[in-house]
Amino acid sequence: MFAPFRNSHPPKDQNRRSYQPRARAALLALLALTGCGSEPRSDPKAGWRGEVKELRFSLLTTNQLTGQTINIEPFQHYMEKVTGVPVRVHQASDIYTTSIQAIASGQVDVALLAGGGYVNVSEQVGHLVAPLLVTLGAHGEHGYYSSLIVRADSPYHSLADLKGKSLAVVDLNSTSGYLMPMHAMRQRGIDPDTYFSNVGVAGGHQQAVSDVYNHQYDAAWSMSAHGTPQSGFILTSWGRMENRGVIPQGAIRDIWDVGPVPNSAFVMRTDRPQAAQDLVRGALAAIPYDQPDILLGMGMLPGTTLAAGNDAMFSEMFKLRKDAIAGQRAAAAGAAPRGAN
Amino acid sequence: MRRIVLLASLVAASVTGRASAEAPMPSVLHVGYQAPATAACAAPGAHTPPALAALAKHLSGRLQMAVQLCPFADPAAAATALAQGRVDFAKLTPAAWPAAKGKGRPILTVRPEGRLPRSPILAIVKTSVGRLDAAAIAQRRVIAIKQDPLYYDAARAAVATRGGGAIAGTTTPLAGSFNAAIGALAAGKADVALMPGEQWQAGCSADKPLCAPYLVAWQDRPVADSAWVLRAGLPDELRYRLIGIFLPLHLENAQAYAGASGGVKGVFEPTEAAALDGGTGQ
Repeated sequence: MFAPFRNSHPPKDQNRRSYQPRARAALLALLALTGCGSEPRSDPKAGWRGEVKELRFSLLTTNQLTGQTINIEPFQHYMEKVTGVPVRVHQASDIYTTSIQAIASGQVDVALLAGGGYVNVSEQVGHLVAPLLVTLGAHGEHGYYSSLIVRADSPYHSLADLKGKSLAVVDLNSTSGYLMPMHAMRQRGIDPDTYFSNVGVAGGHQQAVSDVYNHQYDAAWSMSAHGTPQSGFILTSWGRMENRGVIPQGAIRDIWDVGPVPNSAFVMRTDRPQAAQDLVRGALAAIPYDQPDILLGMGMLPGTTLAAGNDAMFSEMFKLRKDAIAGQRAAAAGAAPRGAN
Repeated sequence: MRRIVLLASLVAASVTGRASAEAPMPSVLHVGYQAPATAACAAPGAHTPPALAALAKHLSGRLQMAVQLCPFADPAAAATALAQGRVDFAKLTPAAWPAAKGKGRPILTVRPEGRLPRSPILAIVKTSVGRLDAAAIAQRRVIAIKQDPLYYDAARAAVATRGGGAIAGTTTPLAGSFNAAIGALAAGKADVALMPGEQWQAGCSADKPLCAPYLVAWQDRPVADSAWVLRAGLPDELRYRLIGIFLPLHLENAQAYAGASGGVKGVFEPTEAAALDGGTGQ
């Protein structure tokens, strides 16, 4: 369509003269609108959108800290509006079998993972993933805590009081309910296997609280969030049970908090275009300021914000995981000869 | 030729429609900075301070567009330039902001090391009291929950900086707990309970009947000390990408961070549109 204007010769046909000014005007208008012929314009968004046809997120069905079911629709609509590409959200009920493998394999671009989940993925695929943003509490805290709890009417007020008593842990895969507390106790020179009369697995944070309340164990590790040991916590696993009337108010005493365990992080594939990574990071980080109801719908408390993250924030988690794997290998190596015999 | 005119008109109409939905990315981003004297915008050169040159290079690489630096003697000059479209992105203070209000949007602020995020603070009152502005809150009997940087200092700063300056000259009594604060309202011992949003949400989800006779009379964050403002009319995508670039700046490029923060140790965080609106009592 630009060919007629390449010809510098005047038109031979007088009839064509009458068309030329209109055609020229129309095309000049088009050129002006598209930016051609004026100041050059970059359009990087066309570039990354050519490569990323849609953005795929993996979120859990339930917020692990608050227990609230996650409403994905407002999140999905917001992200589509901001990024200008279709957004698909995969909801997983199991963080280990779904979210971690989905982002490790590249089936999704972004996943909201617990700290331990990020470390797991990072060890699988290295720098192909990065913590785009970490969630931050209103006090600016990057993490939550493992809390050692006892019955409030018990005589136990410190770890020293629990020598020879029974202890429940949450799950052998739980960072706050097992890995972090075991690490913290060993750092204090305590071998949990010999210090306590019995160490059992409760199966969940609230089950651990129930086990203590029901006298099945003298103490248990559970979880506290949105605060610090100094400021106090807004969310605790036993507080949620008190609020629901499962246990009486004030039935549980928290005697030691260890942490922080890194909060959840939005983890993104780094093999996606940089412009897409920047846009997704900015869009997510703006939510608490632009549309805080979206975060509330995801079970996050008001005042939660999203801050830049890096591997250094998870260094303790990497160490915990390394120690846990080394421990498992040592146990397996020790067991093999016995099994062979 | 008729077909050319028709086709051109159709394409033009299509482009116009898209342009009205989203402005095109600029080819050059004009970034303001504080300098001894106001001068014309220019590409970084030999005399550009290294931190600002690093910032310009970082932005240019990430946005894939040219960056020019625009020196301003003070935030007021930057605000005027932003309102006149001579600069796209500049750091303004609450005092300078009125000159640019409506012509730009605050998008980023520095949170200095050791300071709390700018969390939303709520003023809780009996439903019969209704909505209040910050100035009215400062005149009432206000109670806080506990002596804590968020629950006390930030709560009072939010009221003081949004038009309730009178609260600064008073001492706010402490209730001791969420339930005690609500109890003080119920007993008529206080008119307003200040608390962070997280406390109201957690406290009321624990005991909905307890909260039923009360409402949120006002909520806001403390006014930002300063904020980077993006000129109006630029595409939203640029705003989100700038946020996405600035947030990890302290981790990725210390020199560029120093240029953007003016040497303040801390981190960038996003802001709400009203981050610089002091005294509005929103």
